[in-house]
Amino acid sequence: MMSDRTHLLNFAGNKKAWTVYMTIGNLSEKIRQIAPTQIVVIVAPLPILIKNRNFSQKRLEG
Amino acid sequence: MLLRLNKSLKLAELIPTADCSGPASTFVHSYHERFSPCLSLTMLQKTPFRCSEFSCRKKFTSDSWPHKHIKLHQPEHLQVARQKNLTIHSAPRHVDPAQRPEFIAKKDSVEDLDVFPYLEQHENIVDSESQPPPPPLPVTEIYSRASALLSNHIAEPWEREAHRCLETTIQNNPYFPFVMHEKYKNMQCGIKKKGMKMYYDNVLKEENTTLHFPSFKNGDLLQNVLASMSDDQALGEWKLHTLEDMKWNDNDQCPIKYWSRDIIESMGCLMRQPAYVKYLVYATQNCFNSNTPPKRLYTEIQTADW
Repeated sequence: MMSDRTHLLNFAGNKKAWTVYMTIGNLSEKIRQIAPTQIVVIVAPLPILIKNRNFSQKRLEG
Repeated sequence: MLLRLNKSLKLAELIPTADCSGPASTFVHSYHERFSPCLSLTMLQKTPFRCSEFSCRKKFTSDSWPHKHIKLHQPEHLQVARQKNLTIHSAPRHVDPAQRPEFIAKKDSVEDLDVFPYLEQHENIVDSESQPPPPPLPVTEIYSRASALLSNHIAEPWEREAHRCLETTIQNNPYFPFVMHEKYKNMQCGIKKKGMKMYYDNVLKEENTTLHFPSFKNGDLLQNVLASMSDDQALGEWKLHTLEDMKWNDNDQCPIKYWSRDIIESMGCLMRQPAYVKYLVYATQNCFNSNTPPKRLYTEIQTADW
């Protein structure tokens, strides 16, 4: 299992997600790294929470 | 190079005789003979050398083009030359004709080669061979059970039957999937006249043959096909999950939604793929980075202790 941040959209809010990938450990590294083998499966694109802009101001005021 | 510079010098005079009465054995390297065309000095200066490699489009105009050529395409030859203390001559060196005495084979013996500096002698090859051999390449040790072929145990019976059926149909009918030779010929004529797209759209759809290929115009169609594959080869459909307890932020009160696949289903799909049957290993193995002394191999997978 591995994950990496991925840029999804540019013009609709610059959305990003952490996609979770999954492979088999029984395969050797040389075969796993070949691109067209499709040994890596996307399990879930986890969304990134958008920060509240007013949150820091409220905290400072409070 | 020796022969090129002095046409009167014969190669037979450089070779020692059988009774050892001749000159000491000299090793004349043959890089220039092998890689360079037989050109005169004037030709070398005028015409650039085009590399003989198919993928290389470089032109070497300077005199040191064989060095560059060997560095580009045969770097291992340079290592051998360094190990054996050999020198590679790039091109015939320019010596003024006033300083250079001419070598005449009839008058001058071969023992007087030191007088002629441009005919450079090399060290004996016997001394260079006494050097220790290079260290062995790193080897990964794998248990014998791990490298056993498991295709006979894992391959599904339906897959074997499909292969067998295809072989038998091809043996019985060389015009498979067409029934007769005339039909095959008509189809070939149809391909030529109508084109491949017309052939796939009209002929194969009408015939309901197995050669109908779906066209993937976007990624969604491909994902749907992968999710609905038969014979337990499906990757699993995407499922929508909602986290109602969590919110994006104070302004956005919508619940968080995300898509995911079933981990066990997708793992099963990966394990069932017949394309990876040859490479899958179901036994423990100790991987080493080098043979002498044995060092453990540390990678992103091999991290834990044995």
